[in-house]
Amino acid sequence: MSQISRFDVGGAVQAQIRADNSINFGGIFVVECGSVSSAGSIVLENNSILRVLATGFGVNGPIAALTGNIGVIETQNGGPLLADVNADMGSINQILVDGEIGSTSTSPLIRAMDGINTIDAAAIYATITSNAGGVGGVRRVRTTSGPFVGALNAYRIESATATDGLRITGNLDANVTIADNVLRPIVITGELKSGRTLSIAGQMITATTPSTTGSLDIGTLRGTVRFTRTTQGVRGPVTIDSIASTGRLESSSPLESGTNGSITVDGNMAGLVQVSGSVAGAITIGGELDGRVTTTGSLTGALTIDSYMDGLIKVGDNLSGTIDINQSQGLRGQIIINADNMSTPGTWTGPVIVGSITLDNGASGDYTAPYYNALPSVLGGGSVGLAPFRIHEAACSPPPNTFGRLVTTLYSSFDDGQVGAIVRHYGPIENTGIIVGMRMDTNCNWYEALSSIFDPVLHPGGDLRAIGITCNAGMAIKEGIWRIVPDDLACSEVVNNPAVVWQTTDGCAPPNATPAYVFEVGPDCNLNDVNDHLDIDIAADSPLIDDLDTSPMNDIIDTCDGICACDWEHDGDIDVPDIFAFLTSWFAVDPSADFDASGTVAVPDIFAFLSCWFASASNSLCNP
Amino acid sequence: MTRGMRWIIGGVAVLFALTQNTNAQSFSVSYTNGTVFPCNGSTTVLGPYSPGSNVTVALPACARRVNIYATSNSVSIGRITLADGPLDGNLDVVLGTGTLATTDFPPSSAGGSWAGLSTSLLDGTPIVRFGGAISGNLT
Repeated sequence: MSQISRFDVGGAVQAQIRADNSINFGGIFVVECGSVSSAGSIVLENNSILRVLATGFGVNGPIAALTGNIGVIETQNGGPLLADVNADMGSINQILVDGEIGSTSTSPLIRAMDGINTIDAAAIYATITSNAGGVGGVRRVRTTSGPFVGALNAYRIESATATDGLRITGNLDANVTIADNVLRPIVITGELKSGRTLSIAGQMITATTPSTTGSLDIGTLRGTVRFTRTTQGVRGPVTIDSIASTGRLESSSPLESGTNGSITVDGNMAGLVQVSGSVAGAITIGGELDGRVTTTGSLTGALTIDSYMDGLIKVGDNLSGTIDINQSQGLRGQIIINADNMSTPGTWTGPVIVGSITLDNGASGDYTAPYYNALPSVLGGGSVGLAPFRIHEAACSPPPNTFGRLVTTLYSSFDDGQVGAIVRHYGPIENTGIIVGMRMDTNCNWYEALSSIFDPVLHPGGDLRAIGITCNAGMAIKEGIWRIVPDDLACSEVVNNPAVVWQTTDGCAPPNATPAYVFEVGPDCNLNDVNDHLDIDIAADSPLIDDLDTSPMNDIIDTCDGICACDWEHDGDIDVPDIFAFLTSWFAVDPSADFDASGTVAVPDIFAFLSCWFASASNSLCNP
Repeated sequence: MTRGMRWIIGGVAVLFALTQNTNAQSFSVSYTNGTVFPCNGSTTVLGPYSPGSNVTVALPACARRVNIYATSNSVSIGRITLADGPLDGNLDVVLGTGTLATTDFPPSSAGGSWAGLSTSLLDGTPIVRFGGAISGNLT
């Protein structure tokens, strides 16, 4: 037929109601019924549907206005909407569903070109598009007691009454794409589910003129919120109860001050907050930060964490604002400044506050940034690093360039695979490229030990900022001065992974000075894990009175005079492995393999060693 | 009285009631001509038809309104096919009595369920306008 004015069906619409309405006669198109069954449908080929009301079992068949608008589709008495609603060339004013739209097994399409004013339902399982081929926005999409599962595509969330916006009383398990501005609140009382994305391409604006109140309020963020506009995307408050490990909040624009933009996480934050550009506004985390906060620009505003910080904060450029961790020893994670490795390096001029401690470049003592002396343990175990990372000298074990008779790093420190020397940095590192060498003389000649002797240990004890060395099984580090030179050791979590920058050198005169970590290995001939010099001077009296070095007084513990030199492994046993260990050193041309002290490592050293080894049975030192 | 006798008497009573009801229930189709010469504004009533009957009505060229209505809201109205009819102008089809309401006003119910409407009108089809109400299903 051509036109329908009003058609009331007390029962179910089980067939198609269709009209072309090619010439609108000024009448109406109203269908009121008990329900529209799945076999039924309502189609108007031209002009608009004023109202479809289902008072009983809902709308289970499709409704379409092929060229015009749809006024109101309403269900009462708990009736659902389980079928498609299309106004592909027009708009939809209201879809008021007393029950649910869709179900866990049925996801209808609700589509308009010129916008959708209101969708209200107990829950929504549907794909909703208000800008199909057009620029239609939505004013309100709301669930009153359940989730929204599916998808929403809209040009805008329009400015309208204060109760409008995207308001989900439950979980949002839908991808939401807003092509332009958000001018009314987005409120999700439950979760934004993992794997789902809420994407806003325009601005989320809170302003008094015009009276817009764009904001984002989410219970738990497990999916992704993405602001894709490159300038002033976040101009309203973002408030999230907590961010799970899968949760991501990404802004492609800076978080500017004075634009009402802010990010607040009331509880714990285990996911990611990522700002492309600078942060001049405020980011506040009310609980623990176990995840990441990253900026690609400077942090000139404030980043506040009210509890422990176990995660990672990356400031791309300068830190001139404030990072405030309101917890004593609360810095258990990592803060990186200049993480973008800028051509003009970022600087650290703003305070990093950890409980009552403030690290900044105006601080005194151990807290002077950027190369503070305070140990990680003082801060909580974490660190603040200005990339590229330097050595945190005080945190090294032993500290670099610690020499003297009483050094506590002994060759026994490397026994049984122990990490005897650890170089720590202000930030995390990667790769294992180091060269280990022993000083041959005072003329800056170093013997670079081969990898067969030492193994680098990246991140010893789980410390991402450290690299250490161990001796291979059967090998032993010798008493003397050693150095570690970075060869391919890089900063991780920094753009392009630049090489670490070691500020300490091997002590050689320029230009031969090489950035290096230098340490001394002290003697422990009696293998008691105590420097022999301490053993000798038990009383620590001054002037020194040798307690265990009396006859002869040769600066060697008496019991070590004539020590069994062929106990190459320093394990107290003279056995076959000592031979192999010596040969390994010999083939490596290790200076210590100069057994006959001839000044060179040569074949006679092997015979000298074997002579010692075979004579060990008669040597009380070798056979106690 | 045995239980079997009670069933027989009850069944007879129901059958009687249904028979009486069926006899009283039907639906009709009428068409009313226009009033512009040569049409005379007369109304022609077709039927009554038994519930659920499919009916084809050949309309005269003067027809301007068709009414479809039943004797009660429990009567099923069969499928109505309208043929021929006017060459132009409006043809109002009212499911119920009276004229077509073009406002949002609840119409009176014309019957129970309805099997729907189809048209095979002449070329130069007029604008067919429809409205009305039933108390049952649109099947």
